[in-house]
Amino acid sequence: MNVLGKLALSQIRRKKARTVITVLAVVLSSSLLTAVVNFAASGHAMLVDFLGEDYGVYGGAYAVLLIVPAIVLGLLIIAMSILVISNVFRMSAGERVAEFGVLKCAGATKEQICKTIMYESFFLSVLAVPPGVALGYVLSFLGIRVANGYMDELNVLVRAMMMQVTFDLSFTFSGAALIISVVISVGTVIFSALLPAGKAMKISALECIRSGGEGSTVKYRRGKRKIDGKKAVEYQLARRNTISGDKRMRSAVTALSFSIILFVTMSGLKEIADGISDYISDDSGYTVVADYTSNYENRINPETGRRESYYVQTIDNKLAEEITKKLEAYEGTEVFGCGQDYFTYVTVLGEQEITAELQEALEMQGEEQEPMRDEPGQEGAEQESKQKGSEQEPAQGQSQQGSGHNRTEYELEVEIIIIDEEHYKEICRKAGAEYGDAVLLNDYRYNDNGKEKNIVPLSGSISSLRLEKGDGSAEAVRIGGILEGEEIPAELIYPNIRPVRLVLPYAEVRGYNWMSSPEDENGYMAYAKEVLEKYFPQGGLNYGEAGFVCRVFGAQDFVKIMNIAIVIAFFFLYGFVFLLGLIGILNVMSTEMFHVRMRAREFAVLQSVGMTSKSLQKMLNLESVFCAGRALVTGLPAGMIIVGLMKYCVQRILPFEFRMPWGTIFGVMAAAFALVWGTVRVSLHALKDQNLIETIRMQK
Amino acid sequence: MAVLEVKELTKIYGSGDNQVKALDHVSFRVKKGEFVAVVGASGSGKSTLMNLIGGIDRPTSGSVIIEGKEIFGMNESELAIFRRRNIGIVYQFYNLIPNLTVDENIMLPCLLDKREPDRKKLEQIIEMTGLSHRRTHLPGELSGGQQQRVSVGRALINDPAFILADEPTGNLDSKAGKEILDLLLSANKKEKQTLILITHDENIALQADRIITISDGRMIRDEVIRL
Repeated sequence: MNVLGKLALSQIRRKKARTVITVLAVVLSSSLLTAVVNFAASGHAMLVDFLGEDYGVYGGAYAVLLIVPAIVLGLLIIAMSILVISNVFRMSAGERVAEFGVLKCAGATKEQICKTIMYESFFLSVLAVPPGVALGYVLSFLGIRVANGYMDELNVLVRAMMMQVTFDLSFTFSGAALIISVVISVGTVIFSALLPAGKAMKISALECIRSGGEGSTVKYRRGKRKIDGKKAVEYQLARRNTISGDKRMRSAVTALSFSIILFVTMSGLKEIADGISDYISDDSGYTVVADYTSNYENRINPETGRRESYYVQTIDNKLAEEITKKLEAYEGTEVFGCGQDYFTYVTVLGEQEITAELQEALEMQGEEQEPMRDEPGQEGAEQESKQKGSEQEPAQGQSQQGSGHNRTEYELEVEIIIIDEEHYKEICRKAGAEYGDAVLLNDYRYNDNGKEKNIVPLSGSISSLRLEKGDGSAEAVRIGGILEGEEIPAELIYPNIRPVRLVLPYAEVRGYNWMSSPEDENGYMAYAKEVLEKYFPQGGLNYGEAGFVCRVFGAQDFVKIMNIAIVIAFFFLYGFVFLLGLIGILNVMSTEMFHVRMRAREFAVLQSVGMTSKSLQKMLNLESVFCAGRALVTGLPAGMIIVGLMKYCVQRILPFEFRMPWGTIFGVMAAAFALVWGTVRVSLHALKDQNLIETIRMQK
Repeated sequence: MAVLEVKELTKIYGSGDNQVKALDHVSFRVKKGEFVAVVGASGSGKSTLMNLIGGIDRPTSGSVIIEGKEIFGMNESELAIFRRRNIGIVYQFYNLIPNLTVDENIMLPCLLDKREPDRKKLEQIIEMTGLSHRRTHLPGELSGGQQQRVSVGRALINDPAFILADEPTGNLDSKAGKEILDLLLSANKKEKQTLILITHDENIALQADRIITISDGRMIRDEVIRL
């Protein structure tokens, strides 16, 4: 080995603590990179098995789903690794300035100085990348095993609900993935070393000799505030040391901020997922749901130019009732049957017929809703907004109220509901309607800036509605009774309802649910499947081919699937964030330890001019607080803003309850302070045996 | 009354066969305003003597009495506080705090004492050290000579009982070295500041009022040059 290699090797041997931390950081970064690349390879194998070599019709979308997260995660790891490893090399190069001076005086070229740092990176790569890659494979193997533990349960549920899907993620060893992992890992280490190596090359021999060590190569910044006797000097010195800290400390603070952002973001994401899971969970009290859903197509009616929905095979009260009776024939089973059609009808109401709350809600949603109706006199063109302004002509069939002024009209979507005979009678009785009447469920829940708002939408005096279809036909429906709030059965309270909800004695609808809580769940589910198969023989065809789908599943299965998906996703995300955070933490530890060691002389000087040990300790404790505080000041708000943005985006779609992850935020704060403070204490402990006099006399 | 009284000061490093007697029963007294040079060959024990007088090391036996107070009877914290109020130390390698400005480095002993420095005194020191145009500079932005002047300023700020200077010109070129020596001499002559200077430079020692020679840990000579 040449002399430059030997020097690099001796540096690795001499600085054992730092070498261990660097090796750990490289091992972690290589293992994370390998795990991400291997997960992508395993995911690719699963999709090929599931969808075919080219991922089928939506191949592009699946490829993006696989490649984009892999690239994003890979870039995050590389960014954090470069930040950490280059910092280690910066410290190493800083310590070796005197050595570089001697080498330069002895005739070493700039390139040779660069080479000696690159040798160090090469040796560290040789030492750390192979175990890192091996650890990466172990991590991905264990991760896939854990995921498959949940995947089996997920497959059972998904198969019960969608019939044909089987997710099978198996550990895949790919030569290409191995090469990619090794190349990226080694490349990251070498690139990280290149930055400080480039700087070391530029220092002249004279500077190296004069500097004689780290101290004077560090560039300090002048503090803006003067230190005076008004405040405790420990506080002022700690503040100055934190503000005017060198680049390495800034890098450690950045790495800590980055880790804080990751932890807070992940916790926020978990809160969002839990909120969604709570929101979609079915609390109607039933345990088994059998359903029928027709395939549908949205199209524009060529004659009216209005949107209409075409259902392949509808279901009406008569058929639904027949199935209800059959299902109730199973011992110990009562069934609540209800069907909905959300897309066929609209109704136009004047402002006197709707409540102020609904007007407010519609005004708020105005820009978000799709146009449904033509502007009067502009056939074929879609309306800009559902709300018609007062300057517009009244719609056909509507009477103008009062004289001398126009009235505002609202085109509202109508939800048609049919329910089983027994419960329909009960609803009529409750609403004071006669059998055969339509009953208005005067209840509307909508997303009010992320919160679910519950209002009474229509005026209580409304007695009839004109229901219009996309083909221009219309029919008048007399309302026999109205139910509001808690009068409405729990089975008919669910998300995504329309402002006008009508329970009709007869209608053809797109889908129907039979909800029950049988004593023998498994037996009933098998029985219900047989019954539905008899009425709607699917013959092994899928939803698209058959034009409909029938399912029998546990009422909580959707939530279970969601929960399993959340558990799997967060198992990986938390694991990833934890390991990435660990790299950042190693950087903080390594930098703090180095920083304290490099300041041994400064501490000795302070003591020699009369600073007590207690004061010194106080100053360092305050420095720890300021250093962690700086990382928190940037990391916490950034993490919370990201969480807030994610929450805002998701709440635009679902009005779920969100709680800021305060537990994690406080935990992260405590951990950041504890980490910096603990590292400083450990580093100081190492200095305890150092001779004050020798430290002071140490040549710069 | 003596500002400093050193009595039978002995310092032994190591134990058993590895024992090294760095200082062996050294005794002397320094009067207020006196300029004493401590000379000796490398390894003679002069730096050990300085560290003991400065209270940054503790003796095996003997005592150091500064303005009537025996310093080794104090605990570490008391000694640190005593040091910042009564002893001004100047090191060969300046030993300034790198992220404090010239002003702040000079004021450091006062600041550690949690009190505002005497502005008049600060201005006087700044003027005396010729650093008025460098007051807001950091040590890294100063030459070696300028850094050492800051170090002298820091030693003077608290009107200490004496200044202890350990080879203050050893790391400087002859011009800067002369400037520092002039500065210390000026403090000694004009301000009646007691000065104990450790050096191996005979020319510097000859400017002192008195020369104490240390050899193998023993005080072999104590001669008065001028009265």
